[in-house]
Amino acid sequence: MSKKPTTQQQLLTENTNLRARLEKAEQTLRDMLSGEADGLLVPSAAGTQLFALKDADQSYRALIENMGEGALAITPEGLILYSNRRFAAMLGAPLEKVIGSDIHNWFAPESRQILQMLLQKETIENHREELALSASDGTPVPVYLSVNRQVLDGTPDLLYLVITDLTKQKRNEAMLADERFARAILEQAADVIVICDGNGQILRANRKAQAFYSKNLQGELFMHVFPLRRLDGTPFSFIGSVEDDSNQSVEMTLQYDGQGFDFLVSVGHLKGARDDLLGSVVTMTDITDRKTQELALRTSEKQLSEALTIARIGYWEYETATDEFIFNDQYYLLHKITAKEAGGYRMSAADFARRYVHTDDASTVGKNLQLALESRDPAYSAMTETRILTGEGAIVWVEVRFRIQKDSQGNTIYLFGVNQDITERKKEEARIKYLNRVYAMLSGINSLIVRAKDRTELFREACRIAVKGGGFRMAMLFIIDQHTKKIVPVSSAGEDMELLADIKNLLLSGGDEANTMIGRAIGEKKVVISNDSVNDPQVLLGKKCSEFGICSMIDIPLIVDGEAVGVLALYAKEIDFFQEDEVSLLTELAGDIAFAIDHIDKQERLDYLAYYDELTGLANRSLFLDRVSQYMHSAVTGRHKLALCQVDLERFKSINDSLGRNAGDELLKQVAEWLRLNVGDVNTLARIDTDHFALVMPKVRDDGDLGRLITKTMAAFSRHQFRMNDAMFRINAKVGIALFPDDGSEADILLRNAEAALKKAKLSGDRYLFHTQKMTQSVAHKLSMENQLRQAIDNEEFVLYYQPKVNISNRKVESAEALIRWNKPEAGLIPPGDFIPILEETGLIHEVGRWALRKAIMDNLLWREAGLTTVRIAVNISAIQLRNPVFIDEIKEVITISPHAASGLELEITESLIMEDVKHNIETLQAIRALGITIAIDDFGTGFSSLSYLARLPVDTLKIDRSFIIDMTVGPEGLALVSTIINLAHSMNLKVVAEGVEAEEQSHLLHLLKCDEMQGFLFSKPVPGEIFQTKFLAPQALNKKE
Amino acid sequence: MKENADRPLKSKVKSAPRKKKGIHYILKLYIAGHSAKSSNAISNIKKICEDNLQGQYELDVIDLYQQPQLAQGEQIIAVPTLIKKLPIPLRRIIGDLSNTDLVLIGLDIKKKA
Repeated sequence: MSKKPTTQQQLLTENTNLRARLEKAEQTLRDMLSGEADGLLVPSAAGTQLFALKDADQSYRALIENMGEGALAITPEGLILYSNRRFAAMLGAPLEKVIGSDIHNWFAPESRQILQMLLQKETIENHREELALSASDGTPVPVYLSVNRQVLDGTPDLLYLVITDLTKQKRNEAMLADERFARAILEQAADVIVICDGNGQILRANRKAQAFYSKNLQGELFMHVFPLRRLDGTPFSFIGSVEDDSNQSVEMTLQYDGQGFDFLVSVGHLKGARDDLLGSVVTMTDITDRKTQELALRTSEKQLSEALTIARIGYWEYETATDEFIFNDQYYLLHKITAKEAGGYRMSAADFARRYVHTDDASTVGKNLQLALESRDPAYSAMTETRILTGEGAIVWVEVRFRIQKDSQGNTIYLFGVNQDITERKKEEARIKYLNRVYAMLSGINSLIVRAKDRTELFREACRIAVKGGGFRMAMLFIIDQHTKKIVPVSSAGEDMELLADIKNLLLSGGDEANTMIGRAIGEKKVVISNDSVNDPQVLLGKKCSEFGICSMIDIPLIVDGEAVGVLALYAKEIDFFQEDEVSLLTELAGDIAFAIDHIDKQERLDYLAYYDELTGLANRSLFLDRVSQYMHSAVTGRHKLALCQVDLERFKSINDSLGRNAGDELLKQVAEWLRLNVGDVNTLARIDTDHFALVMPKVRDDGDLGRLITKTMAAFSRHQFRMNDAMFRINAKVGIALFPDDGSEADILLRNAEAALKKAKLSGDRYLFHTQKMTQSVAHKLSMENQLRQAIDNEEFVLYYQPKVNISNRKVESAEALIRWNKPEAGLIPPGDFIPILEETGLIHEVGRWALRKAIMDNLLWREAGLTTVRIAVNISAIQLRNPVFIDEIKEVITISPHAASGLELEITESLIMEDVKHNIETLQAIRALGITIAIDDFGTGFSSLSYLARLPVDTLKIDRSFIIDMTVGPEGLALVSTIINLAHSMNLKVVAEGVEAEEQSHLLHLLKCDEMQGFLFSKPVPGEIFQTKFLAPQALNKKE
Repeated sequence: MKENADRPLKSKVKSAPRKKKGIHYILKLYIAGHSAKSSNAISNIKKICEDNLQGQYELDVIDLYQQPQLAQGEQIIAVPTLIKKLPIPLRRIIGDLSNTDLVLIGLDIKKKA
């Protein structure tokens, strides 16, 4: 512009120009601001420059700003003049902080040097280097760095950097390497291994995994393929659970194809540099089988445990070192205690023995333990049964089995054992034993009820079987007495008399009867049981029971026709013996007994009617005949007779007709009663017809006896007064008699013959008749003789005859035998054989014997006083006399008549009589001899004397029986016999008298044989006393003889 | 911006005549792309700051092409413009900041002669 002074016009023009220019410039500016122009061309010294105003280089910017790499423009010093957003993103820093900052600061220390070098290189062009950035948070970011240098005119050098983020690529490489390594593991692994990306998509699945589904799983979602569930049922997911402790294996389940699988699942996460989840490795171990086995094992263990509990088996150990037992829970169950109650699982042996072993078994347990400890056998084992105690002290039977463990020195260090509760088995065993006993008893009773004939046998045997077969301690049968209605014991076995007595007393005491078990059994008609009698309050004698070892008892009513007739009481040694089965059997058994009672009752009634006369209670005809048959057997054996009498009541028919049948029956009853009382044994009586009675006399010794008995009895009967309708009657009877064996060998024949005899008696005037006429006569004769003999005694018709005995050598009379004669008026002398037997039968012999003795002594004393020759008078003594206990006294009395009485007396006793009862007779004879009376054995040789007794007999004289004297002259044997007898007698210092000497030859021989005296018709027959006196005692007679 | 203490970008501070100790500077440089003025402005202010305010400043460089929204409310008419936000008073300096003295005066680091 010019510097010359200007005019106003010039100024105005210039102003106008300027305004125009301003206006132009403002217009341009307005246009520019209003967006009318894109760029502005501004002239300058260097030329016109284009100023792009808006979006002229938009596409370039967009390209750079949006590219995937970082783009930078920096000064050679490293100052960042431009950075795109991507680079700032790589660094994690705000863009405004990046631009204007030093590039060096953004690289990792180890990369800075390389960067420095790159930036300084003049020549470098498009250089590419792998470096590491350091992001704003310090994390390294691997990058490729490309550098370009551009030299622009007038401007400082600028470096253009392109930075590529290698992070992702690096990661992929790392994963690739891992994968390669893992692949081998993967494919060979037994587990299911699945690799997923961060989204849970399956990148890879190993062979096992593929095999699980038999398909390729790649690309599928893990969650979809493996819908795993945790044990609590929640679905499993590993997505977003990076912080989970993935190394831990977790048990999970999987349902597939209707089947359940169990897996142990562990998840390994692959994380990026900044802890971002890249992917996951899921390892799944199939534990289905293991779980199944585990379950099976657990089940089996549980079952075992259950089984042990159910089987009541407990396990125990014994540790030698500590002397302690070690128990398990099941073991304690045996003791019904818990480990807590026991004080733990260990227990000292002593403590155990004291607390939990039955006192009686403690020593055995100790011994067994000792044996096991001492055993040298390493395979030692043992089995035993013992009783242990529960916590409450109850007894438990256990079977103990154990083995041992030894250390290397052979010491037993451990015992292992199991105890099994066998209480039930023991009980069962006992049960079976008990039941068998009851069965045995039942069987015995059953056979008994068939066999038993009467109540007594039934009761006695039932009790015996209960004790013997049933093994009961005691058995008792009680019956209700029909009259007193009292319970009375009728039979018992077991023989505890004291307890039995107590029970009886208890029943007798009466008051408590209804309260006793027995009373209740009857009253309530039901079984009453006490299975612990000692402690049972219902057992009144509990204390006594314990003394007798009775621990349980049962009372079973015996029911007949719905009424309790008695009680079967059984007492057992065992506690709790009577259980359901036993009671049932025993009840059956009691039923059998009741049945038998009923049966026997009825049978007895039938029997009674069959064998007894209901009216009189006597045997009827059939029973009577049966009994007679039995008595006949005895008669045969005893060689005696038997008499059967039939008795007819005279006038019975008229009594019956006039007084009525009832009176007749009453009379029959009274007659039966009279017979019972007067004839003796009821078993010998019978009523065999309306008014016919019969009786049997089983043992008839002698016909006379019988006649007398009958006469006497009939006389008594006819004197007896029977009372009927308040009037007194006398009845006569007639009797017919038959004898066995004379009148028949069968009972019914005898009865018939007795009846025939009775009929005859009824027709005749005889009160009784024997079946045979001769018999009747014989009996009648004997009875008449008896009467006459009584009269003979009264009338003194008996006389004594004397037969002298003379000395053989000098023929002097030294003694005489006194003999009884019956001088019957009108009949003359009766021979002794006709009346002596009757005297003996009737007992009159005592009286006659006494008379004879006295008479002989008196005669002798008279002769002596008269100064006649002194002789000894021998008197015969009968058996009946000798047996009479007062016989000695009678002799003693009779010899008091005179001091010479004894010295003049000799008693003659037959040999056979002495021998009947040698011992007793020897005593009697000794007593007689002590009185000074001599004794002679009469009829020697007929009595079969034992020589040994002969030597001992206290006798003085031996009289040889007349039969030997007769035989003496018949042959040499007879002579030898007499000779021998004489020698024998002499050797024993006995005087020998020969009887029945009738011939001189006999006298001569006897003299030769040195016989002392002789007696017989040769010298004199028996003569009356007066004749004897005059003929043999008078001096003149002697003289005359000489 | 991260400062690396162990590796100072410029080893020496040539002069700090009016350096106000303890005062923190927040500076914002608004530029428009990779133009010469803008590049110079960056280099210049960086140099000035390092020479005079080392450790006491915070510099944001905003390319209005990249982040036009950051210009709102800042009453920017032309670029490059440097704004001193702190300490107050706020100052604006337009240009490539090649006159260091003027910049220092404008930033109240140096008084007018």
